[in-house]
Amino acid sequence: MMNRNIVVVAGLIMAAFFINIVYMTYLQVFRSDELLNHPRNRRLQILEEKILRGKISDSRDRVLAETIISGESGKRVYPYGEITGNVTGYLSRKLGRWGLEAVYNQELLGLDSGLAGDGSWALNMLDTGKPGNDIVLSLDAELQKTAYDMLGNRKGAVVALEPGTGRILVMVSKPGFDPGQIESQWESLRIHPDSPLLNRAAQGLYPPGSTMKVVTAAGILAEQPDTVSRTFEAPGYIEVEGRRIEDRQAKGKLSLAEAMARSSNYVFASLGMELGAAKFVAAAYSFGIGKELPLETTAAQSRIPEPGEMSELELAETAIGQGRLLVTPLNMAVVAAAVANGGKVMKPSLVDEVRGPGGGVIRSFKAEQILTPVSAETAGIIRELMVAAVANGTGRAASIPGVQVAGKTGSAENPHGSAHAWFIGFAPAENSEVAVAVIVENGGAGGTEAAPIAREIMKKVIRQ
Amino acid sequence: MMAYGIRENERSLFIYVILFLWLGLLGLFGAENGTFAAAGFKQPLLFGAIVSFGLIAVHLLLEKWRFRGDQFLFPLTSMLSAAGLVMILRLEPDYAMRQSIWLFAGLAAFLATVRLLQNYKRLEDYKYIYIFTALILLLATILFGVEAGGARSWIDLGIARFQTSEIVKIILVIFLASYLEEKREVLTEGTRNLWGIPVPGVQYIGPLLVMWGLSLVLLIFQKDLGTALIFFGTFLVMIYISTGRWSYILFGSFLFGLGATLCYFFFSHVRVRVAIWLNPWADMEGKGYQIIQSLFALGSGGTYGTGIGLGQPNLIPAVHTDFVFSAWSEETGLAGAIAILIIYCFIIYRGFRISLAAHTGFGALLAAGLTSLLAVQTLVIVGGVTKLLPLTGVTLPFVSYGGSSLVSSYIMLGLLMRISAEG
Repeated sequence: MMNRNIVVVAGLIMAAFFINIVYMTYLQVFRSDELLNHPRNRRLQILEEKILRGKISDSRDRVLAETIISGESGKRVYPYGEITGNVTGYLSRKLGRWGLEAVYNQELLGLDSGLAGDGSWALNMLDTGKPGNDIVLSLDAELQKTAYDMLGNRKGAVVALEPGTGRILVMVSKPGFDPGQIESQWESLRIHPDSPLLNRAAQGLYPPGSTMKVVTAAGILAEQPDTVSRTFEAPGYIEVEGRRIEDRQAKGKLSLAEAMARSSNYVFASLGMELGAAKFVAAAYSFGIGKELPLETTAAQSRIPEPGEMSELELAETAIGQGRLLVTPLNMAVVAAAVANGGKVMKPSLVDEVRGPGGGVIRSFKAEQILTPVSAETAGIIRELMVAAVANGTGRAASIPGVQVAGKTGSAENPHGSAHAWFIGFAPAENSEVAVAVIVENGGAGGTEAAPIAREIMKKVIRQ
Repeated sequence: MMAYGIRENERSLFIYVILFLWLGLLGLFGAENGTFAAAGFKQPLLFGAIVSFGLIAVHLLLEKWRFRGDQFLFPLTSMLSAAGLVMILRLEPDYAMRQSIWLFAGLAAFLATVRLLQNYKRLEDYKYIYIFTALILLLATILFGVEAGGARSWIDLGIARFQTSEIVKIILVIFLASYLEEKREVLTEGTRNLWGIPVPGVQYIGPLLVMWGLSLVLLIFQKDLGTALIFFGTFLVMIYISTGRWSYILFGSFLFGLGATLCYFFFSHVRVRVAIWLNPWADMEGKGYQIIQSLFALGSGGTYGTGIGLGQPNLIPAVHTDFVFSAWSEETGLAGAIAILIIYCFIIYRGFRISLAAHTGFGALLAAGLTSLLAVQTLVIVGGVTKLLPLTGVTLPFVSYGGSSLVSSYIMLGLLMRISAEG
């Protein structure tokens, strides 16, 4: 009798130990990463202080961030300061990490050597002399500087990328911040009315204005290819549900190419309504608008109302880039790149390679197609429309002698003052090397304010 | 060689214990740990030699006495003590020498138990002396005790502090084994049905109430939730083994739950403990700090650990006593943690085997009681540092820093081995 009881008790105790083992497994395997990386866990910080953090450099080996040892402690320096601050991000014991410094923290510390997933290995690397890995970006710091300088004292953003690969060459946000001074300037940066801590290029949300007409054109051409040969009688305004949208710059008989060149609100608002809300929004989604666009650092998602929530008027407004539609400059650069690349959207990326302390490549970026908004044929037609817009339309200021440039301007009305000046485009029109998106906040006309910056960037990429 | 035939299993297992100890020490040399480097090379080497010598000497003595007890328990507990010593040397090098002295005291107590208690069955005859002693000791602690780590469980003897509950728990198990053996039949018979639930007769729940009261006294006056839990848990296990009645367990758990609920409402320190257990993240830098640091250590250790001397377990306050298991699990990972738990499982398995093979009811109950005590204590502290249970400051048997705990653990080992040697 008692023996049976003893066996029962032994069984229960063994079961309790088993539960303990299962729970330990949960803590040490499944929650390992979370607990190791918890901001209040000082272990990684202790490690970091012992490791010589790797460099961040641009595609031409220009240093954007590096740690210089002075005496006992290392100091993180950012030679390009506020020009690349929105990309490199910052690193501070007090404020934490942000940007690529945060996203590539493990790599920069050299804690990622194929041992991800198990925190113990990270701590195992406690080898005080060993430096971390370097990060090589696709960015070109001198191009970035050109764009940053050209924005002058205006607010805005510039994004340039390679259409065929998605490699980001320029990602400027102005005003910027100097990550080297982040601790001393934090309070003033935080409350500054121009939000210098916001990476406008990837996180800024703006109405796209007429640059959206590229997307509207893509939607209608995919649906009705013969639209390209239609002619339109533009009255100089369009009235929808009692609201009148002015359109004085494009009056009279217009081909589709002329409508694009002169940025006809009448034609594209009508085409948007013809297409219908569902198909129009689907076209926007196919370019990543309203969908999550992947990027290594924090990026906002462009916003477009659901088709069911759109009135006819709002559909007309959205088709010409107004209404509740909000996009990031990065997303508009992706739209331009999609047209340039025969309708294929490549994943936008900032990081080319992770290199070990000896210079050997540990991991390298591979181009990856993520979306196919239009066919190569349709992309070809849209390209011709955009070439016309630069050759003899609103985008003339973007033209480069000897190179065919495709583009579209925009002047986005907004509640904060004069219109935002937009330009999206790519060059050369055939076999493009670069696609750009430029926004100058409250700059007015895209053709005069944004196009010259885009022109300079495209010219420099092609001349290189 | 012929002379050493009796404890051959123990001897072959001991090779691994000594190997384990020295590999642990070697690991520390490789680690270049700051605190350890300060202590120099000499101390750890001396330390390793003394401990190896002590453990081997005990084995040889047992052999010389031609002691026929269990051959697995001592190597298993030595393994635990070796792990504990290596960890203490790594965590608090200044305490390591003191701990090795405590280990020798423990081993001496173990040998004394094995040698002097040839006829352990005579322990059965003095049961009321035990309960009396236990009560006096507890009372003395409450009146003259000193507080450490939030619990008032120590008596200061001048040269060293002595945690009374450590010895009281053994006395209590011996008392319960003899009391339950004597009253077994009465207790088994005396149940009634109350609305379909079997309830023990009023006259038989007296001892139950006494144990309940004792646990509550611990809880209230000594603020020692862990020991209260261990006392009561062991008591319930022993009463179940002797009677086979779930009703005692149900009724006992009900009483304990009632007491715990009352304490929750009357005492703020109990409320704080429970709140920390439920959500330590709410007060991360304050009251939840210790348990959160323990969770960080466990998580940072991952599957294979950082290696001995390479982690940062010193970030946990009081790591060498209550949190030695967390430190071990950070540096040896899940693999090391499970290894330790499995060693405990082996010890418990051997303990219950001894209980099953015991010739008398008293022996069986005593062995099962001691084994359960060990098991419950291990579960309470391991569960505590992993946040599976509320955290209570009890030691990990054979591993944690602490003299009283180590000596009492080795006395329990001695008793178990003594029982196993009968016949």
